[in-house]
Amino acid sequence: METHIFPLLALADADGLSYRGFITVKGQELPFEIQLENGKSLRNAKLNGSPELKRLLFGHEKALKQRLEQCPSLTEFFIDLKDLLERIITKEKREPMPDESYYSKLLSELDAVGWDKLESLDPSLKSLTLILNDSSSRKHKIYITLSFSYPQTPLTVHIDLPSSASKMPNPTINFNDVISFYSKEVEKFQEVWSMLDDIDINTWVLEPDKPKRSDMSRRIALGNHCSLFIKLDELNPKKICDYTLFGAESFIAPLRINIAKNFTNWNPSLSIRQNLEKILEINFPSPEESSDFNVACGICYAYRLDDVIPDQTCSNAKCGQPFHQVCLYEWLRAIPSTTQTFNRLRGDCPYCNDTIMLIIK
Amino acid sequence: MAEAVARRLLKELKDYQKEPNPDLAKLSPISDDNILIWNAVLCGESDTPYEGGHWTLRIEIPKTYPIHPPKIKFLTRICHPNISFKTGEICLDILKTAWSPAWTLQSACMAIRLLLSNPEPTSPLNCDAANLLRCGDFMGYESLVKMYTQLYAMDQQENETNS
Repeated sequence: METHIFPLLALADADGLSYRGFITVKGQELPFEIQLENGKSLRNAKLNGSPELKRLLFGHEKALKQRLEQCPSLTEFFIDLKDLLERIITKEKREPMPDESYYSKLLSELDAVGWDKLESLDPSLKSLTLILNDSSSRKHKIYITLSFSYPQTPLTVHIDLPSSASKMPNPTINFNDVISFYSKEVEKFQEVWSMLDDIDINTWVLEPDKPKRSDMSRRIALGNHCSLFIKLDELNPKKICDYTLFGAESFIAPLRINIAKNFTNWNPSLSIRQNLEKILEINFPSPEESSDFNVACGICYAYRLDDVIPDQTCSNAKCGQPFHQVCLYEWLRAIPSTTQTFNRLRGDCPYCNDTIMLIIK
Repeated sequence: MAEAVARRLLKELKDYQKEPNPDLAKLSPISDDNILIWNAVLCGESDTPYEGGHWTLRIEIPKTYPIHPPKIKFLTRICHPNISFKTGEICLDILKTAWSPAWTLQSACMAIRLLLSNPEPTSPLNCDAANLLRCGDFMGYESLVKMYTQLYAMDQQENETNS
C-alpha cells in the first residue's frame, strides 16, 4: 500500500492482511480497521470502526460492498471510501436533524395509537405505515409522512380508497384522529369490497394484476381468449354494473344474446358474480383450470406489454389469437395489403390470414 | 419496443432449449451482449444429397422483429438453386414478402431446411445448379450437391474456417 496517501493507517500484522489507524475526512479523524481474507482479496474484507464511522456508513452497505468488489487495490478502496464519507458528511450538513420535540411527539403519538397498529417505520423516522382493520377484518394501510417541522405542521396522510372517499377535512397532527376518521370512511365501501373479493377469489381476474382497494374495475377471463370487463359502482354495488365484452365475435355474440334475454332477471340480493353467471349463462373459469390456455400476444409473445394486456383477438373462431393493440397496429401498418377506412385498419391476421380489423385508438 | 424484441427472442430461445430440435443442431445468440445476432446449425435431411451435412446460418434480427423478418444467410458453402454459392443469400418468400409474426427463428430455419429438398429452379440464385434441374439432369444435380456437401459441410473444422 502506498502509505504516503494515508499516513495514519498502519499495517497491523506480519502477513499484510490487516490495517489499523485513522481515516481523515473533512478534518475528522475516524478510527478504522480493515481485515483482509487470505489471498489479499478485498471481496470479503471485514471492516470495523468507531461508532461515528459506523453511523455515517449506515445505509450505504451496498455501495461499500460494490466498492470492495470492484477496487483492484487497497489504496484505491481507501480513496473511494474517503470520497464516500466526504459525500455523506456534506449531505448530512445540508439536512439538519429535527429537534427533540419531533421525536417526543412521534413517540407519544405512537403510544397513544397503540404500537400494534404500527406496521412499519422508516429508519429515518420520517414516514410510517399504520394498519387499520375494518369490520370485515380487511387490513388497510395508512401511509403517514411527517414533515421536518412536525408537530408544528400537520401530517401528510395517504390511504388507498375509492375515488368517492372523502379526504380528511382538517389537517391534524394526531394519529388517533387519522385512525378514527378513516375507520368510519372504510365502512362506506364494505359492500363493494365483498363483491370484489368474491370476484377475485372465484374467477380468473386478468386485470388489474394486483387489485388495489381503490380499483373498482375487473377484467374477468371467460375462456377462448374472451374476457368480460366490469366496473362496479362503489357506493351502489348491487345495481347492474357497466360491462364490456372482449374477444372473437363468434364467442361473444351468443353471450350478448344471453345478456339481452336475461337482463330483467338481475337479482339485487345476489352477488355481482352470481348475477353475471346467471345472466351470461356461464360459469367463470377458475385460474387453475384455465392456466394452460395461451393468452400471450401472438406478436411480442408477452402477456403484459407496458402493463397492457392483449385485448384484440382474431375473429376467426378456429384462430382466436390474441394481440396487443400496439403490436397488431405495427403489423398491419407494415403489410401492403392492409386498407384503412377512417380509423379502421383491415388486414391479414398473422396466424390464419383471415381478415382482421383494428380500430385505431 | 427494443425491450419487447429481446423478450420475444429470449422466449424463443427458451422454447428451443426446452425442446431441442434434432434437425437443428444449434440455435442461439452468438454472444451474451447482443441478442440480435444468432447462429444456427442445420442438419441435412436424410435420403437427400444433403444427408450428413451441417451448415451454419447467420441470423440478423432487425429491431422491428417480429414485424419484419430476420435476415438469414448461409455461412457454410452450399450448392442449391435458391441459395447464392458466393454470399450464402437465400431466396425464400417467407424471409421476404410472405413473412408473418407467426413464424419464429426456429420455424424459419426449418423452412430453409425444407427448401433444400424442394428447390425452386425458376427463381435461381445459383444458375448452374438450377440449369441442371431445368434440363432434367437429376443425376448430375444430385452428384454436384453431394460433392459440395462432402467438400464443405461434412467436416466441422472446415465449417468454422468458412464462418
